[in-house]
Amino acid sequence: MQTGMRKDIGAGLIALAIGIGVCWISLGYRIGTPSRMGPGLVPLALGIVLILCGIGAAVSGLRSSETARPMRARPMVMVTLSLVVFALTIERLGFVPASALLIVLSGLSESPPKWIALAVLCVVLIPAAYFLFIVLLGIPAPAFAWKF
Amino acid sequence: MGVVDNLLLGLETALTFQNLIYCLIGVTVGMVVGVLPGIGHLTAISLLLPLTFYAPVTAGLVMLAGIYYGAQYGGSIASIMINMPGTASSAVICLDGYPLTRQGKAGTALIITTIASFVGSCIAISLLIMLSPPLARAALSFHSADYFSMMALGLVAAGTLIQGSKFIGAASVTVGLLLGIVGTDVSSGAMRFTFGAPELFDGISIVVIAMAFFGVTEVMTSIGLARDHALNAKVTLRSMMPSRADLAESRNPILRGSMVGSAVGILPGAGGGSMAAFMAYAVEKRISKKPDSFGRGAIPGISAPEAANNAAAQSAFIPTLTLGIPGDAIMALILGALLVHGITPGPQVIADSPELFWGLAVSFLVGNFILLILNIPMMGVWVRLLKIPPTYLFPAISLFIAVGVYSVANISFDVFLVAGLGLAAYVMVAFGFEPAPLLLGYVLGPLIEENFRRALLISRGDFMVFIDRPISAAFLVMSVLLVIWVALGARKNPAPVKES
Repeated sequence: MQTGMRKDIGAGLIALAIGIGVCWISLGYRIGTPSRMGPGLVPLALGIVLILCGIGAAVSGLRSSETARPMRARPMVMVTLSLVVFALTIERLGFVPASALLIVLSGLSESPPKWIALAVLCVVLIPAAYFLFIVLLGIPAPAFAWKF
Repeated sequence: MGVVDNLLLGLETALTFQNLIYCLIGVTVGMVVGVLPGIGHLTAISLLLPLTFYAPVTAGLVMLAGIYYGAQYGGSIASIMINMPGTASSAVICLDGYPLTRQGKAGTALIITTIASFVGSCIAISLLIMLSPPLARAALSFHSADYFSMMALGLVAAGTLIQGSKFIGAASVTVGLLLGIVGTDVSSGAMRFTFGAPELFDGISIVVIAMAFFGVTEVMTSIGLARDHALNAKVTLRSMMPSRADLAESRNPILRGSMVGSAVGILPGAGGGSMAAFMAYAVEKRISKKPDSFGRGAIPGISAPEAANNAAAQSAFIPTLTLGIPGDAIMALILGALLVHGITPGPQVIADSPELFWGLAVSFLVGNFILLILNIPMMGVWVRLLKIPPTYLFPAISLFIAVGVYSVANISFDVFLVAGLGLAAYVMVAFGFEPAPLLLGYVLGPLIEENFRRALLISRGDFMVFIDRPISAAFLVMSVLLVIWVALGARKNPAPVKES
């Protein structure tokens, strides 16, 4: 990722974008009056606060040259992917394959990946997690499955 | 009931086999994560939050609290041994702890911090036991307008008492408030920000929020980074015997640190341990007869801050348990756990569930005692934990995040949600958004909206109700003063000088 992004301006723009989105959605709800408030009043007010904060942060950020903390693309992609794959496979393939996929995918954040460590983790951690969550806590997930 | 009866009730609750086991698990896990740099206590508590839903409420809270104060003990070990704080609140211990290690006095430093932790905790727990009942009784007369204003003060403090841009701090709180709004509106039954997904009708679980902001972001930040500090010193039991001079030199700093810590811990939004430790360090340096020795292995430089961060960890429970106002993100998680168990935090908790309050208070004493006993023979084991390579740590945390989130409702939707929110959280934190005020906003959001609406309903839409009631007015005035003070301070020194 590029490292030169200005921190306060970027944060201000994020807040501004969320604020506009929130206001847009809130206007679809009933706003009401102060004594009989509709569900839209508080979100609308918060959206406006976010827009103001965003403008404030961006404007005051014009004077500061502080840059955002560099983001690491590889972990961002791999960790997100590992969670998504886990969510997709836990019910279709079962707990053991889903966990193994998650450990390996998140381990790919490291370059080069430490294959031996990941293999050890799979062998040790998956049975331990299976015992804790499925046997002890009784989460209804099969160890292995084949459902599509 | 008198204090003695209450303490007996607490003793009875805390010493049941089940609660003792949960306390032991909590403090041990706390020690381990405290020692390991890279996982803070917030991450650890977030990871273990789903487990407590399977336990009775008292046992669950005993465990969560144990993780918190256990980590305060453990955090200083990494600071002393490898000059890298295990938790944020023990960062200041590095300043004098690591020089002591290089002088071959690691053992002394470790035992002094253990004793300081224990004394600091005990002093703050006594305050908790003495102050909470009268505070709760006073708060029973609060109306919804007072509650609204008190929570508003908590949120203003959380948003403004941060480093960096106050606008972003305020935005963090606001985003948290909005995340708390997602779901069915209690008063009208309308669906808000659910985007037609039935999984969101009940709102976003606190587990998802905590894991996204404190779990996923931590993993993305630290996975694949080598730890560049080597462990050189060895610690033997014999080297841990403190000399009489060391003990004498620690006594007053520990007492002063405990008092600073207890006071800071009670304040809302003060950030708990870190600020307490820094303030205690500053106080010691100011009044010391040899200020030059600070930074080169001064014993008061480790004993006072260590007592302070442990005292703050305990006294932070006072506003949380008596007023229902969490002072920092960890207390917000504790409050969230209470809500999940169907207990509305507030002044009625002590009266309605005395076994919960007193059991918890006594379990703090028990837990600190376990830590003291556990630490002396186990110190070598804790120190060796620092040799675990991070390669093993972060994939394991990822698995814990995924399974933990899945376990809350047994739906994969929550895991997708944590992946998306986690990614967003990572980007936002990189731009300076603060996860702790955000979590505070998320937890307080529904409570504050409910009180706001109720107050206006009773006053028939008259906003003067927030000013007519003296308690409410006082909190609002404090909020305004805080904002003015922060705004003036920001103008005076636009770039806060970082102390080395």
